[in-house]
Amino acid sequence: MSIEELDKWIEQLKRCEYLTEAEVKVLCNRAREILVEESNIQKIEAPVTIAGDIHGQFYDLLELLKVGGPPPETRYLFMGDFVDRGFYSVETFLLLLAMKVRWPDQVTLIRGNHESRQITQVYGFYDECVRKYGTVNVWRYCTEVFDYLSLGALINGKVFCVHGGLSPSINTLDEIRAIDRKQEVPHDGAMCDLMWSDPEEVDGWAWSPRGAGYLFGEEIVKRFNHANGLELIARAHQLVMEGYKLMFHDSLVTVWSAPNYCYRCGNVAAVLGLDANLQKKFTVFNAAPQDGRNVPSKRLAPEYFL
Amino acid sequence: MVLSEDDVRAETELWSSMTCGELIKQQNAIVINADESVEGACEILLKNNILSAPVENLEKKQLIGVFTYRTLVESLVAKLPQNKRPQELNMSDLLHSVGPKVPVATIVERTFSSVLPSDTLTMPVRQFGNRIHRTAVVAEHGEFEGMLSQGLLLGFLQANLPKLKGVMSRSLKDLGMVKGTVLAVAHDSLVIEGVKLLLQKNISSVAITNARNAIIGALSLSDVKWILRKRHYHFFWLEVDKFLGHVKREEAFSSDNQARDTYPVFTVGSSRSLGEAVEKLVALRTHRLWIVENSMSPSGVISITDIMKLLTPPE
Repeated sequence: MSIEELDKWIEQLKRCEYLTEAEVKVLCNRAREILVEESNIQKIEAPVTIAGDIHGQFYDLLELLKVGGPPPETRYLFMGDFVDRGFYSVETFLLLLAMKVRWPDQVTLIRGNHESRQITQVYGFYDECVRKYGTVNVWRYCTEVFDYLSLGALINGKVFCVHGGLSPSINTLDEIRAIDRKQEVPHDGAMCDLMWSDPEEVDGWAWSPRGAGYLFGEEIVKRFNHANGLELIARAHQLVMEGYKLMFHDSLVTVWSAPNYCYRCGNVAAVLGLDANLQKKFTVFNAAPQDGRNVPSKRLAPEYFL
Repeated sequence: MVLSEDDVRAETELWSSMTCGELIKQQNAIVINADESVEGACEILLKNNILSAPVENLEKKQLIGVFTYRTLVESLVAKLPQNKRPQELNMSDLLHSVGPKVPVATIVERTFSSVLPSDTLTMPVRQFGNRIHRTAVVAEHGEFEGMLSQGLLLGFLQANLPKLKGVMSRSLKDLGMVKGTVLAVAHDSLVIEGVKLLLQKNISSVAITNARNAIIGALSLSDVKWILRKRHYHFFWLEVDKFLGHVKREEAFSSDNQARDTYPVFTVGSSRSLGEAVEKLVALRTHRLWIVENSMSPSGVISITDIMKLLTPPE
């Protein structure tokens, strides 16, 4: 796979045309070779633009890249949940992966709770792969890549980025580094919590209503940030209508990058730009306009009419 | 497992400390008028995200019965063919029996458990331990005051957990909740087969397992609301694992779930304590947790019924 071929694939994917199964296999193999060298907490140097959940909303990802600027000129961190829910999980993930392979130091991808075999079989990515390719092979190649994704990122040693949130089993970044991440997301334990937890106005820890991970309160964040020399935790995982939401006296921020989520929520999306001095700039954007895109025909299940 | 009087002393005191009448005062009662149609009654359950509601003759303040998803499903499913999706089935004929023109009073459960407002909570605890899911609080002269559900009582228990240190700290394994296997349906069996099993066994939920016997989800009677709400009746002939996907994707957008995706199956480890299980049941607003170890092979289930049975004061 040459650079020319990779560039050709990127141009094709930007037109929302997915690769062949054989091409996906080559891309995924190359991606795994790169990702296996990355740490559980990938170090990034600012400036960087941080994005939250995309969930297969391909045209909105193009909007995001327009608003944030294209890689490699803009350095990006995508905080997981590339697939499921939206109509174009395949094209979305392949484009992000191709950009990662093309510019490995300028594009960082970390794992979300949807980058999982179990979750993608329930929330849409599996079905989409089988529908578009006729076999499960592409889904298999992609889920094998998921196993290699980093669990988090650390920007200038001060901004810790993770998809979900914190874990009662984890007090330090080193404890995260000690996890064996190359596996399916477990149904409980530290690695699961990092992908599934949510911040909440609670005292300490509480069971999460999601059925995995925990809710964690302000004191927990304060203690974690202090113990690890952090200024901020950036995370995604939760829909926020305004695209981003600062909490706990600005010690934590949620960034959400899927506008009009599931094509029904009416929210805006955002990315967080950090400059070289870690100054924050939020850029909010709307869903891509309807014209000029391949809106898939609404798959109405056949209904009986009374 | 049957616990001794000593084991459940604190819980027994807790049940005696409140009456049924006091407990139900705290809730906003949703009531269905006896004149309401079946379809309208269904809409009331769906809109309020509840599993059942009393059907009342509002003039006389008299309870006629309780409308539940079980009632509805029983009426509907009895008429549906099992294995193959009916090509020529006239759905409107079938639904005529449960549709817009049918008064709900004709299909409600008319026999129901009841307690007096002055009864302490020991009464409903005993009933709930006997697999009753809700009990009517009816005054001596027949005035209906409200429904007392398993969920409401569990919430009361959870709120008082700090007072209860004994049996609540014991593990689920220690309390005999690990049985080795659970009743399950294969992931590729049809929804209608699963629903008929639930009705036949008189249970509300069954595990869905994959080819490796790992639990991947559960099929509950109340999931039928997703079929009814959108009139996607063909879902009855969908494989249960595909149906699970539809349910989970929709659930995130219902009531106050705030578009949060949930884990496909709600579980608890056997080494967790009874108190932790209570907290988790309340947090997830569910009636049962499947007991699993790392392999996700289900070895038991802990339901509100099980908890009430454990905490029933010995007679």
